[in-house]
Amino acid sequence: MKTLPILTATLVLCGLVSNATDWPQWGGNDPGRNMYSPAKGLPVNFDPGKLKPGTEDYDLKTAKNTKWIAKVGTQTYGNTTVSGGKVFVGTNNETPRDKKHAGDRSIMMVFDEKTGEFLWQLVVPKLASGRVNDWEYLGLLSAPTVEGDRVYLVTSRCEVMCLDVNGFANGNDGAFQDEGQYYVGPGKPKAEPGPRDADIIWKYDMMDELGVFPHNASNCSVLLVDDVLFACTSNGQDWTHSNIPSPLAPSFIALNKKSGELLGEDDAKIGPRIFHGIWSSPSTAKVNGKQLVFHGGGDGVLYAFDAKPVKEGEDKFLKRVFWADCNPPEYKMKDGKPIKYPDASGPSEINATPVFYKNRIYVAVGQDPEHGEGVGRLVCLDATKTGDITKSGVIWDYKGVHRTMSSVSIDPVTGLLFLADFSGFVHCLDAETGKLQWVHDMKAHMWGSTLVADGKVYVGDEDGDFTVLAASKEKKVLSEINLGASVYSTPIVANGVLYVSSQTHLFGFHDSARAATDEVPKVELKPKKP
Amino acid sequence: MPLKRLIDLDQTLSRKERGRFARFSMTLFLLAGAQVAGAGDWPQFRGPTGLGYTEEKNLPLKWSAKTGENVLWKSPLKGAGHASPIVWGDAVVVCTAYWPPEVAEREKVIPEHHVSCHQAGDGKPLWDTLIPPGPWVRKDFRSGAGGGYAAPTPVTDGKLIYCAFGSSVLAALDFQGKIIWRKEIVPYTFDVTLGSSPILYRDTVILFCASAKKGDSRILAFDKASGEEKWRQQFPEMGFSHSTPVIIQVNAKPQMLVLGSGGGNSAKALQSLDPADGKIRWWCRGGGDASSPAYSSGVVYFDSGRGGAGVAVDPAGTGDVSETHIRWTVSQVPEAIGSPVIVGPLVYRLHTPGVLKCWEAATGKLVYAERLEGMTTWASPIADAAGRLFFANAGVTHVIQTGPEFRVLAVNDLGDSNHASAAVANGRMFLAGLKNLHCIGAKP
Repeated sequence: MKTLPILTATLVLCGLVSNATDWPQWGGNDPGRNMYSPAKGLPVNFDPGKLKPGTEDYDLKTAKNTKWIAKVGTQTYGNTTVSGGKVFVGTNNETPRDKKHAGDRSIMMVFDEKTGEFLWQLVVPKLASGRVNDWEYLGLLSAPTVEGDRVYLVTSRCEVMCLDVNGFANGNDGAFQDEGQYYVGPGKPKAEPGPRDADIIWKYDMMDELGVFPHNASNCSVLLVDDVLFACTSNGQDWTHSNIPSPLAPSFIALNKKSGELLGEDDAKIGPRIFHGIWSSPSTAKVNGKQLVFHGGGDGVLYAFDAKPVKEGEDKFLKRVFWADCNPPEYKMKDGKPIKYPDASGPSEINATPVFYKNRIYVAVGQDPEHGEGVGRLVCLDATKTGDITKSGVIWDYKGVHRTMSSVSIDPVTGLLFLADFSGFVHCLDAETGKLQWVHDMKAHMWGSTLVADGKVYVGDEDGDFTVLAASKEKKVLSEINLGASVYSTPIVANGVLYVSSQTHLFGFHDSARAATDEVPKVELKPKKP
Repeated sequence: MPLKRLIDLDQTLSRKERGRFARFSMTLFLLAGAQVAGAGDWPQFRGPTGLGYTEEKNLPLKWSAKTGENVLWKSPLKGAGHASPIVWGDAVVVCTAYWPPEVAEREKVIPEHHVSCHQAGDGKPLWDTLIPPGPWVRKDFRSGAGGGYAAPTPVTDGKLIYCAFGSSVLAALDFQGKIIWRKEIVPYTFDVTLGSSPILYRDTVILFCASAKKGDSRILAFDKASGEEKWRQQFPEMGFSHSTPVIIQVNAKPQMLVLGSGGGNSAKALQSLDPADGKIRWWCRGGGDASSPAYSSGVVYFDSGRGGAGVAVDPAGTGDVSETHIRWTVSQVPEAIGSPVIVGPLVYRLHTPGVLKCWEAATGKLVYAERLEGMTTWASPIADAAGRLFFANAGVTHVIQTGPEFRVLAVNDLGDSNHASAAVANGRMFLAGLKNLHCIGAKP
């Protein structure tokens, strides 16, 4: 029957198959991963209230415009996703939800979207090799990608993993059956999986299969394009910061979402040029009729690959379509001598997600927070070009930004672009021209990205301040509240609720009055795929 | 007055000296709200008090590498480190680590451990002694200059100089550079490096050895003359720390504040010990890693220095004071590395990204948060007797006027940025850069 595929295609185009007001992956419903939500009626003022004495639980009677608050671990860098009535977030195990999983673990917690009730969790043991590959207590960094009954993520053990969205409660599904061993790590007495544990469908170990040497942390928020998953590998330096142990390992790969089978690896041979590590999550768009995937390189180069792998000899490769070095010459050489990485005035890698918007790529360079502050650069690239577009493809650039790990938010209503940087400044520019509109000083580091929605820009910082700015040409601070612990994550919106995690809690804020009327938030439907 | 006596004031001062100290410290107490040191020497990390106070009030406000303004001299250093210079009389002593150019793989070779002495008047090198390294071949060089091998600042009593290096070794030298004794510190399960500076109390040299491996954390007291261990206190629950202990006087009794909790919080982050025998008097919850506590006006302020809560506690308690003596807390203070300081009624805390926060010491109320552009937050500030704060290092320095209004008096740059804190003695400031040792002072 041909009707069903046509209907499905129509619905996908309209963004209706996955509930358009969910936020099912990093970047929400936009495969270009613009940090924007079309939601309306979002709150300006909210307050989590006070902690109940002697506890880490908030007393919601003292809260304002708060739907629910969940205690997570003590370090929470993972970004929230929401799909199918569940909320997913990566954290650590310093607030154990299950006594049988004790000690330093990386955790993905799953909560009920309506109530905030804890449902189940993925428990990932630490790599025996230690912090060089898997830094203590960082927790799970990947924002889970959810599609239907499957969850895709990258673990802190440098694995791409597929999970059952319902956890172990409905049985042990999929090819992978040894969850009890997985939870505790190799060689340890097995744990007995329970209904609050994760059901692993398959996993793909990038260290074993590809020889990847992840530097300190594996973090990719995987990108789903039809049946193909794309992920960066987190390959990088060894402990000395002077050697790349696996220079031939890929930086970027494609896997079959159903089986975890490797479909291809990048042809860019980035390994020997990695400054530090590979941590940029990808985005995608169709340009000139071709599906491209965009990867921010550990060498500071933005790469666009054809999403369709090509077989060459025994292997399959993702072929470069265009690339652009995002570090300008003056960040590389001074007085005829190379500027040594990670000098504050020197070159950087790309940690941010490249954002695709109206046939352009917006991305800025930055470094690991351990390296401190330094010069940055935001580039706007013409995504319709091919080859080396370092010079020819730059529509505009902006060097007023410092190093950043943040991705841009572009407001389609105003055409304004917002970008947070590590030095603590939020920059507002005209996305079309790159003209600077204003800069707001948060006076604290920012690791996460801005979110623009409903005429507002939401952003958190290391001080724990969570600020709402007007998404307008004139700078205006609408509200600011302190969430009691550093906010290293990016806020997201799903079904009228603004979610943001601090290091210790996941907050769901909404307009309580509007929620009480059960008014469905207005959503501007947009095509699923460009 | 020999300034080492200010460290253990109640034990060693002569009657006449006590009188002198009382007069100038009372004057300065009114300004700074804390006991401050004499101007002659700078014998340890953060000066005679360990808290970053100097009695100087005529230090130059401005200096510049480009124009030479108030730069009296600079003298090349062999190697680099985070250690601050110390000054005793005409001797300026600094510790550095140096890998010879032929060393290709630094993770396999312990660098040379240099203790060098320069003439305070003109920077002339007097001697340079190599300390045989300890047993720890380190591989984590994230902390920068010298790979973290030369992080601890030396300390002196005017007779001997005591220095520690990241290879896990403690040594005593005389003022001719002769090694008197040397002791390897085992076990060496530190996080990143041995970062805590040795301090002195009476006839002991004390080294805080908080470790990444819980159970190994301890504080050790060695006989100053012989290096023999005199006492130790184990901290079985304590994680790693790089904080240098400070000795304060509370109700005329000395307390040694020891701060450490590893990467998170703990119920015993700040502990007060008797510096004579290491017995624990009280403890307080919080975080402790990179920074030393600040103390004045009856309030101890501390935070981890690596991000986390800031805590102000009254040090007059006993036992667990977390529920009884905490005066206020700040939920999140970003990474700082350097230490805070209290001047008069205000706490000053520089943290990343170069933001100076000022709180009321009594209440924790935020007075201001302002940027000090281009500042490293690794170096610890120095408060002078004129109520000025020097956020000084061999790179960009800001001098601000203390008080409830943020006022920058000067911004200076020596162009040799490093993490080391400044030393102040005899109207001059000494700064260890990556390349040179610099002396700032008014030219005759």
